[in-house]
Amino acid sequence: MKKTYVVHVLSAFGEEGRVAVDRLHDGIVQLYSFCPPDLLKHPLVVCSPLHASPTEPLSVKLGSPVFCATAKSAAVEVEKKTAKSECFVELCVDGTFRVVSLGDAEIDLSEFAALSIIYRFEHDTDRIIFEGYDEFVPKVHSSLKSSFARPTYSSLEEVFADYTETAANSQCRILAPVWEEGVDGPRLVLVNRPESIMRNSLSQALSMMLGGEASVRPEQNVDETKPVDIRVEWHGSDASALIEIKWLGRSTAKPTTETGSPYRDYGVARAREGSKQLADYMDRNLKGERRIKPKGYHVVFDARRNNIGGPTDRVTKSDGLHFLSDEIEYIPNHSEIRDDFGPYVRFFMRPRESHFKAV
Amino acid sequence: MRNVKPEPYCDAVNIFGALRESLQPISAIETHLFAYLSCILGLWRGQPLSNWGYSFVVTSEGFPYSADFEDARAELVPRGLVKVDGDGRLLPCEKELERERDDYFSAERWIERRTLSEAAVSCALAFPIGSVRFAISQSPGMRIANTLQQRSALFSELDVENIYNEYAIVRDAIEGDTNDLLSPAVVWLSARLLDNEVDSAVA
Repeated sequence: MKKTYVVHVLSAFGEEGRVAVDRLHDGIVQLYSFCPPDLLKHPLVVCSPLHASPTEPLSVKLGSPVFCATAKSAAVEVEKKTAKSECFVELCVDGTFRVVSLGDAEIDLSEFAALSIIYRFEHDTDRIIFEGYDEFVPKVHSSLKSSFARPTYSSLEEVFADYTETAANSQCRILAPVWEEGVDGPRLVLVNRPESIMRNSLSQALSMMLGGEASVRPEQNVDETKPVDIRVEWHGSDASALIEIKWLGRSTAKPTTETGSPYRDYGVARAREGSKQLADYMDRNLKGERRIKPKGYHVVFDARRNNIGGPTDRVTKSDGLHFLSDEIEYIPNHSEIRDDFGPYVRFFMRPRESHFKAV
Repeated sequence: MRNVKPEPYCDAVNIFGALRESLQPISAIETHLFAYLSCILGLWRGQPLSNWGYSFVVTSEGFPYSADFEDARAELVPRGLVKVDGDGRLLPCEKELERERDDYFSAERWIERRTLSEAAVSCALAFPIGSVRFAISQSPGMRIANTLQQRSALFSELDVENIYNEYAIVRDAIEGDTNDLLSPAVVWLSARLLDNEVDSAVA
């Protein structure tokens, strides 16, 4: 078994090293709690000096560092600076921070490695550097952007990926009553107003799979001016997410006129409309008590079938699975053009194969 | 003070006193995790289990838990040493905790316990708290109870023997200072987190 970097630090620098590595861990975790690694556009270097005085910080060698009294204010600087270029943070022994932008300059970390323990985050990797040591830190979990960050958005996206299978086969007990004729029927037509069933099922999955890391709250989706269905807030972090749910396909409906249809049909336009509503809401939404603006996620439960009739009719396999791989094109694609909009999520809800009509 | 045992009270004071900013606020159940880890580090230091002063069980939710420690931890709130935030999470009052330590726990036997608590909290900084929880859930005694999803007592004779054996392996592997607790603790936790990668450089 190779030695851990903590062992190397302690054997190389003794008590001085223990204090520096403790400060480094604490500093990184604090910075990430206010500025999750998901938000870093350029590399971040965090340096914990072995014995530099706060009056003579090492970072002055790199320019004019910004003094930050708290991790929160340092995280604001980090987020701002890493939007443009690599950023260097020095954790001073008095608990204050110095933040300096590295611009396009290539810095020689070995100069600092002799005097401090250095952490570098780049392309979702953690690296520890000090005199005679330069190694990447293995990830403790694949969903983590960094092993030092409490999982936030990346873990949420992983839960969405895991839930895909649950939704596809309507496996969850809460989701099962979403079908007319029940989960053991052909699964072609949704019940009237299925939104709350979908919201409760996804909320439960998020609560269970995010464990104690976050609070998951189903919200009352009043109208299109407040389209949020679920709010997720991570503990020990300013990160939060707003989830809006839309469904596509056919549901039963209460006819408004005598000749009105007993069904309601929603297609791609409904998903696009939802995307716009969420984007508009994100524009209006205030930060609230949290420093970081929430990230919006547009989630679609896709129950579309081709040539569909009533809930007990049968469809061919080709019609039942017609939309299985039909990814929705969003114009504009908000997840590509804005930072506060996560990747679009689509859960395709499969019909029951045993009810397919022979061709 | 209500009738709380001095050992868990000392550990509760030490654990809250050692919490760095990044671990605050903390949930009550996480403090039990640190108390349990302190106890394992105590075993590594040769402390007989019978001298620890209180025992642990694993709950049906898979957390180590001590009723005596819970009584002691709860006592810190009315004594003004710990505050509770709006979400029921706990925040240490550093000066008050320091004063409590000076007043009651300055004797040699208590200082040794402080070293254990500080090492337990320190190694938790190297990983996300959820990962520490997972790593501890894979430790001797905890693993079987978690598989069976049953509440059961921790530190059976076999558990303790396994903990000693694992420490012997870790100590030989790192060849470090025998007084250093942080290195073996981090290696021990990392090995559980990186089960399939024990031959890699960890943490």
